Amino acid sequence: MNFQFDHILLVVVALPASVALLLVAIGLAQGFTGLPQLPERVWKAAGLAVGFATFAISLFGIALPFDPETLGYQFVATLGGTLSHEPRLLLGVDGIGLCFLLSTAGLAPLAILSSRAETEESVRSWIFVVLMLESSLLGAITSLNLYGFLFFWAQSLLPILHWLGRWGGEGRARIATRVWATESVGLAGLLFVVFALSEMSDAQLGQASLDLIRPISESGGTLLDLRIGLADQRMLFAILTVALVTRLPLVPLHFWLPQAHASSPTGLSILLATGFVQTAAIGLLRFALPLFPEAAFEARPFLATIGIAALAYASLVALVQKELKRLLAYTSVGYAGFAMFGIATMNDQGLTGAVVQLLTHGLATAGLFMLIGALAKRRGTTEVVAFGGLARPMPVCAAFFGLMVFSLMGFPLLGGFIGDLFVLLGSLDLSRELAIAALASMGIAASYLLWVQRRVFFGPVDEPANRGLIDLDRIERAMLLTVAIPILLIGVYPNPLLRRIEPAVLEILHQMGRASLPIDTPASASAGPSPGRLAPGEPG
Amino acid sequence: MNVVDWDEGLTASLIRWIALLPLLSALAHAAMIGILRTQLAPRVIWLFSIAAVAVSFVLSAASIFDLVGSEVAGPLVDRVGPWVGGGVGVRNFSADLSLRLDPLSAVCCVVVTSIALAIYLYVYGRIQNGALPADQVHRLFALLDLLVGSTLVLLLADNLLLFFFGWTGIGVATQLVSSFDIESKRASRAGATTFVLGRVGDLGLLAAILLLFDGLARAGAPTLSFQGVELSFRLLEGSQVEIPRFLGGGGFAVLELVGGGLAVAAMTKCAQVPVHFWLAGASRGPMSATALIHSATTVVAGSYVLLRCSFLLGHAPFSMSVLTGVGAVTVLVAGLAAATQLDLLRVIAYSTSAGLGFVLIGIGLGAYSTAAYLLLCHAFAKACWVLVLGIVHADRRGETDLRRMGGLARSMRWTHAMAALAGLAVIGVPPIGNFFAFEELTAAIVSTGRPALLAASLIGIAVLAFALARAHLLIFWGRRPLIEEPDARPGQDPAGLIQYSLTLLAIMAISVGMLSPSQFWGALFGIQQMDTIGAFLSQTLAGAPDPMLDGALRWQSIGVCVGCAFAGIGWAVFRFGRKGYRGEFEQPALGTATELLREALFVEQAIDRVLVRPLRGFSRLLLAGVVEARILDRVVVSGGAGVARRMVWSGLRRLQNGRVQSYAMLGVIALLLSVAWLGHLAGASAR
Repeated sequence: MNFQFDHILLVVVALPASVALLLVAIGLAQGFTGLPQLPERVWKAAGLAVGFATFAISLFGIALPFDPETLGYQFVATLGGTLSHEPRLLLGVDGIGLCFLLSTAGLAPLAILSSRAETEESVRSWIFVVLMLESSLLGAITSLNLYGFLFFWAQSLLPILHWLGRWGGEGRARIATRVWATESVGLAGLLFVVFALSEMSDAQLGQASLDLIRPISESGGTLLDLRIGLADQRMLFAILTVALVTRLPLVPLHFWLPQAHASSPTGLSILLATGFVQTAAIGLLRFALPLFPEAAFEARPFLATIGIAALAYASLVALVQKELKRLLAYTSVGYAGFAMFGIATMNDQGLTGAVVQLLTHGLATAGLFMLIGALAKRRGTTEVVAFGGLARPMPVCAAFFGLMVFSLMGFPLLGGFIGDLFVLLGSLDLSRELAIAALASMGIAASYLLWVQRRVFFGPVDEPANRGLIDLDRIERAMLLTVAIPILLIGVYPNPLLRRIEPAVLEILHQMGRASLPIDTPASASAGPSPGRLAPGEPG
Repeated sequence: MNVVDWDEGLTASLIRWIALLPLLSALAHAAMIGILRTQLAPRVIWLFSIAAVAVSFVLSAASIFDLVGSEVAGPLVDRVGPWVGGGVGVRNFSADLSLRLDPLSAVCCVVVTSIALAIYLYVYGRIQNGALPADQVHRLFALLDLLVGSTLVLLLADNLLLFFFGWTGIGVATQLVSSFDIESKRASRAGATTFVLGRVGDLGLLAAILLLFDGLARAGAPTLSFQGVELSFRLLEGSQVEIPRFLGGGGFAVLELVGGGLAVAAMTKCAQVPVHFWLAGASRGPMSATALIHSATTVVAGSYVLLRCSFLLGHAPFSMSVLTGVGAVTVLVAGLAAATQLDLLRVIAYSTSAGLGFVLIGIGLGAYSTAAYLLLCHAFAKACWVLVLGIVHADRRGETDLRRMGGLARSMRWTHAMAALAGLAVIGVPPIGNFFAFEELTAAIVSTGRPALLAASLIGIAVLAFALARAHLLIFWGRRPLIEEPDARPGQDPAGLIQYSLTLLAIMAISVGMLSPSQFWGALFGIQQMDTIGAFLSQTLAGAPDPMLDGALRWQSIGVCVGCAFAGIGWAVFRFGRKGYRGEFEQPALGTATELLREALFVEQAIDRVLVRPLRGFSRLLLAGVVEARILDRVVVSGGAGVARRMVWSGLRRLQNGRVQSYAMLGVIALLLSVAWLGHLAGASAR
């Protein structure tokens, strides 16, 4: 099957949003003309159909034809200005983008499905929010242009704020403002970096280009050709990193997340824990590291230490949480720290591990959110004390919960282990002391998940309300299988995944001047830095 | 290509099935329970599992003949294909999916699969008696298969990564076995304890693997396969990991750290002091699974990790002396704990810890072949003993209190005889069971010339003998229980498959113990090759197969060893033989001491008090209460917003009363700052 064409990425990115906007437009027109509104069933069906279609296109149109042997970006597409200095969208995927693209596109329909019951009263808003969010996340994941990244980054915020502010339950204004407070800091930082880089690009290259690569048909320089002094690099790297980690979210900028999760429906939590986090990682990997390599390299011990501290800290806080969604929020805060630790190693194994870790832990967290959503639907609460002994009435739920928890803890044969293993391998190169500290933190990270599993699923069934609970239905089981299968596949045979991620990671390291590439392709040759910055071999 | 190559290739490619069959069977069971929701007849489930294990057994037994018969020394390697790989250049990390059969793994595979076979037969006997509900049978066999399969993966792994996979598989299965009774709070607690301690062992092993790989990569020889590590680990001699300045500075030898990680891993899996307490909780699962854990799977994994890496243990002298010390302490503490228990399952658990303590003493001293032999003998004898007690346990309807038993010898003659035989095999009464292994170990200790260690292990032998004999006497001898049941009934001997399987195990326990005495005995009887297993294993294990001790000294060591065992038994008979259990000590000091030993020094409670609760309290108070709720919530968000509000938009507040504006302003301020900096940058780049 080879129906690959140049603009498939544009289709994937634009499809959900355009359908959402179309639905709104129809609604407005009907309101204007006084015709009856489209029934909610149509919205639901359209939302689901678009979600699945987007996933199908990205699976068959992008993931299968994706060539793991090629270095550099594939499926490069542009929209807007034909000249590089005009504002435009420039999209493309490498192995890292591919992973995140697939996971986000796959989880969006599951997000719609998993919140059927919670969003009864607001179906139209819900479908609109999810589709808009999906589009902007996919856009940010595939943007090869800092303008585009900024645009989608800001764009992805609006649906979330809209939802939290409108349907966020008790204290929703407070929560929405809190999210906006932190995210606006991130936006401001990004904006600042964009301005600074475009000024520099104007001064050095003669045109305000913000493209990361140059499509073969065009000439001119890219962001990677900029020469930035070390002092400026340090400043810009610091600002950009702080801006990006507000969303990762790295301790101590995480405080908005537990509340946001607690007042989100399951579906929104899923997207917040996966695609939303992954855009931040993409920003770090695609822009922060290659653009400011010396500063980034200097910051390694600092970032790594914060990462481990974040994992330990979030695990300790999670240890005493009494509500499942908040607890899970701290889990993802902790693993964001671990991902930061992997990124901070800045070698191929560490970065590969961080990407695998973000992918698999995102999937496992999404699965856990689905399970908690299923429990909440049945019992109307997510307090830990309300449960106990559920393995008896709900064995399948218990089994899936165990699988996801084991994957999060990094058990072999499950995806989480591969990410952890490679992060640890990479970190040994950075510092053996930090690697041992990370291992110790992983020990703490396990304990609270175990406590939850034991408290919720084992022991006697104390509450009479729990005795008659019905196990997962067919749709829920299918959804969890969809998440569990990739976790198992990656855990059992990770090589196909690693083979796709590694070239992308090598490309990043090459752009940082920290690795030499085995083969040079046209795209990477033009994207790479001047040979003077190359320091082949071992990172110092 | 000649015919011989083809022949060898065929055999080698069969190795994968040894481990794969039980795992596939476990997977099939899990899929049937969880996804297909089918409920098969117990007989079908059993046939499925036992067929898998039987084929594994046949294959591993056949492979031993292959290894013995083959002229070429060296392992058979079954390489399935590439598996995990990543990284470039010298840090390239790659592990194949490949299995390796050498004398050590072959012998262990035969032991594991044969014990598993006997236990599966036993379980079917229990099913026939209707003792197991049909819905539990499926889960039980899934777990047993997982235990056996993971152990076989561990035994056969050709590289450290696959080894780690098998290791954690065993850990998960052990945890699931200990919380088998999902509705019991106690079982779920035991499962959690098992899991957390297993996790400590996992991380120790993972740390050892990573440090080893990293050291080799730094030395220019990145590898994970056992063969590669064995060839190149000497590159690590002299390399150190620095300790940060604030922790005192200095450094640790890398090999010492690797050895330490392996030792921690082994200690947790073998339930040694101070992490011995999980095994007591983990013994509450089904008796068949308990027998497997105590004999052939979990505890074997703990010792096997050291035997497999025996080549580098000699370069980690500090870790090994710690291991010896831990083994000696465990022998005493766990032995005494077993000798004072009132609960049958806890006697079993602590006696296993003590038995494994002897194995670790042997490994710590470098007597690898002796330790391996002791491990094998322990596996058979212990499996037999636990299963016999399982019969009593089932006959008494799950009663575990020794005070409520007594006088069963009259109604359960066969069981009594079998229990006596198995117990004597565990104690090592000449010439059966552990006797030759214990004797070798004592000789090895004597030849190192460490009196304290010798004393500890001799007392340990005596205490272990006392503990086992005491349990036996309390169950079977005496007239009637001190605490009488209202509906007391006589016991009933098992029949059919249970008898067959136990007889099989007893035969194996007795014969394996006599299969391979050390060459000292060979010289005595004029046999050229007496120490068959030891010689076979020494192809893989580092160090000499036999302790260097001959003549009168050897006879003395044998005499003392046997004397201690008989002393223990004799003391137990003297104290409990006629009267059975007759209440606690009346002296308060002795009562306290008994209590202390019964709880195995209260380590579990101490860890809970000193470590777990303070940690939770700390988290609750400081992190969740102060940092999250006060500092981050109020100071950062509200406070920061308040400052911004007052400073910049105090006028606007009158117009718009929401908070959104103030937060938005934070962003705007950041923007303004950004623009200012931008001007600076633009100026700088223009210059």
